[in-house]
Amino acid sequence: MSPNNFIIKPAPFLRGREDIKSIMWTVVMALMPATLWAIYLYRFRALMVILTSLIFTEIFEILFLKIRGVKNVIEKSFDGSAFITGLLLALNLPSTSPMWMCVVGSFVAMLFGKHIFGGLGSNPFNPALVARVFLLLSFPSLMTRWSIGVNLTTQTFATPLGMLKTQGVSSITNLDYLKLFFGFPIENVGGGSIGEISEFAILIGGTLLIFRRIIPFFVPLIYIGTVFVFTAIFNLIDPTRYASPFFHMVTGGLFLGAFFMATDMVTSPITRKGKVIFAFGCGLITSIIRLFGSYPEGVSFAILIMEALSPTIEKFTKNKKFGE
Amino acid sequence: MAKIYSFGRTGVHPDERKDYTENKPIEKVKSGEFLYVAVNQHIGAPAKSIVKAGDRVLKNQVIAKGDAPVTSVVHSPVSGEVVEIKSMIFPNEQKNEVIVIKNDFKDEKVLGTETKREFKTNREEFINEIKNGGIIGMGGAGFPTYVKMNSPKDKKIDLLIVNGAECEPYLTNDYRVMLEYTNDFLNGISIVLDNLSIPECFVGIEENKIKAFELLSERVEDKRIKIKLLKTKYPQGAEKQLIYALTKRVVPIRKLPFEVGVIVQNVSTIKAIYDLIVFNKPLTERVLTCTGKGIKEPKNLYAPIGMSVSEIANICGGIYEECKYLINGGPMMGKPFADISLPITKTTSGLLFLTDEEVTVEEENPCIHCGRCLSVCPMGLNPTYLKEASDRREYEKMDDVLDCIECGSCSFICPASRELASSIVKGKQKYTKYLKRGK
Repeated sequence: MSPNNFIIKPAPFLRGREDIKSIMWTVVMALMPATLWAIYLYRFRALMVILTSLIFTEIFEILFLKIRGVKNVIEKSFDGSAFITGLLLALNLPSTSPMWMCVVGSFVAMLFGKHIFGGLGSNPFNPALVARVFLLLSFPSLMTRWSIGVNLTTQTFATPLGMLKTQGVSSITNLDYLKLFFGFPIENVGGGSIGEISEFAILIGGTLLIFRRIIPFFVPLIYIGTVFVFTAIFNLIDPTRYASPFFHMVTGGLFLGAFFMATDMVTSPITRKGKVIFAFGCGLITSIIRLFGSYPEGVSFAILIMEALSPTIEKFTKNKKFGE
Repeated sequence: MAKIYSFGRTGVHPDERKDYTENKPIEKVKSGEFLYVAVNQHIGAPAKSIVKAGDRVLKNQVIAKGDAPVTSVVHSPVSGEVVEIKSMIFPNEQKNEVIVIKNDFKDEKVLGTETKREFKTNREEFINEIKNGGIIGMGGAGFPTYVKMNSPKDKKIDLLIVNGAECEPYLTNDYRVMLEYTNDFLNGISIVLDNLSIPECFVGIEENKIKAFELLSERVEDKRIKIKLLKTKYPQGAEKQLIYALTKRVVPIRKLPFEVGVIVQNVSTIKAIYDLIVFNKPLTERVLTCTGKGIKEPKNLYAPIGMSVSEIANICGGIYEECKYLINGGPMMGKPFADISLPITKTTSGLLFLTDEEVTVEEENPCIHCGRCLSVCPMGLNPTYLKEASDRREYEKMDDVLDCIECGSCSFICPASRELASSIVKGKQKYTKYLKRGK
């Protein structure tokens, strides 16, 4: 009746409720407002970009897990991490992206962004960002064909940040910042990557992540705040050359990057102090690229650069021990 | 409402699961035919058996002792005959000598023990009495109490803290002792304060044991004793965290509570001190909680030390077939028992009989660097990096393992189900050996 041999397992015998799956799928949930808004604006085009990216990241995830000889491949491939990568990649692409480019992006994300380093947890860079920058450098013109909303013509337009870079401040002063914030289409202005159009939608998802304690509130706050302060300083110095900080808030990938990529656990410093420095550095580099660089947008590069610095930042931001 | 004390932003909130036994009065258990008294139940230099097979022993007779500065003694819980001295394997592959005593049910005691006495003496004799009474920390660590009391001359002790936090889930033994032995407990505190000339005592009790807090607050007469309420959070009862919660004093790294003028004692230890000083009764019995979904009738028992787990399980109605885990202690820091024939010791605050439903076992996944272990670690360590260094024996990165209090908060919170605490505890052993070898 009574078993004489019990299972030996080290303490503790209780576990918290949050696991990798619940974290990852919550992030997916948090990306839904931005995703749905993208689909609303670009309908079939956005849907195709998103589905292609999702399906192919999953396929490559399964393939590379198999090649690496990981057990329980199917279960592992649905831990949500590949899903996030696929979705983030899609949200970082223009609505005009050809399907083959989504496939290439998925491949690069999964191989060079993730599995070549040993898979989940071992990648130094955010896989979706690696893929996005790879595509941006390889196919610059395809990656910057911006259309306006569902009204799909062959015609493409510059994004507000693009206009600022090529035509100067005067070209963007008449834009309705509120419209940009909520992500409503503006005539003759390109929308940008499908997921970054509505800062409002991103903010809803980001707030969910903060309340679920999946991301710390201060990372997006410091990132966005740094960009605000930095661009405000230059705007005050010379408003005819540098755009308003509010303009910088509501354009480009700042919100998407600050809430969903600079907060990537795997690639940002593990310490609190480290995260603060990381977020500040992202804000600083983004601002410098936007203000002085030759690219109109700098969020992807800023985060990748800071990710490269992340191990070093960790070294200098060790926690203080209790009693030290 | 009373002020609620806590140790800061770290720590975790496991399910409390105290409802199985919190309202069950302590049941006194009589010794069975055989007792298995482990020679080493404490931390410190090992003790040795001083009896041999065939010897007749009396109840409360010393049957094992050590002669190093930090060691302890063990007394027989019954009168009877030593049948054999055998080696048993305790958790962590620890071999321990066990003195098997056949109870003769005559209950013949060593002369003068278990009778009320007047104990008026000085500090040295008091500490010596505690040593000879075999009293060790009964919260789980088993550190000899006389060593804990013997503060260096240059350290002025101005506060005794009695640890009634009982922050481990499931356990209700300290709670029941406070409720049922209220006066013994309070008198025990006064005795310690008198003999060690400590001017003040805080008793820290977590909010989920509010009844004990209210009862003690009502009964306490000694003006030196203050009953304090703690936030229910794990590990509120860890020594350094408890001191910080109640006094905001920070025990410096790798130092003892003496350093900040504090001595900490567990509730059951205080009760044992009372029994020893007032009734000349050495430590041979203790209150423990037997609980979990794997046992038919969860109970709080007052059982002789050396009773086998199987006997205790029978007293609690037996084990369900679904019972998969047997744990000596609480679910956060307790040790797994593989074998039901093992006996309880002075540090067995509870026996948990747990089913698959209660214990979460998941495959370890790679670290996703989420930082949760860092944010819950009450010692401010970096558990995930310490685990890696420990697993790989990277000694130069392992020094912090010595500061780990083994509370298990990191493993508890880890979303990748990594056995952080376990690896770090092993790392501690590896690192200590490495240091001894000399770099």
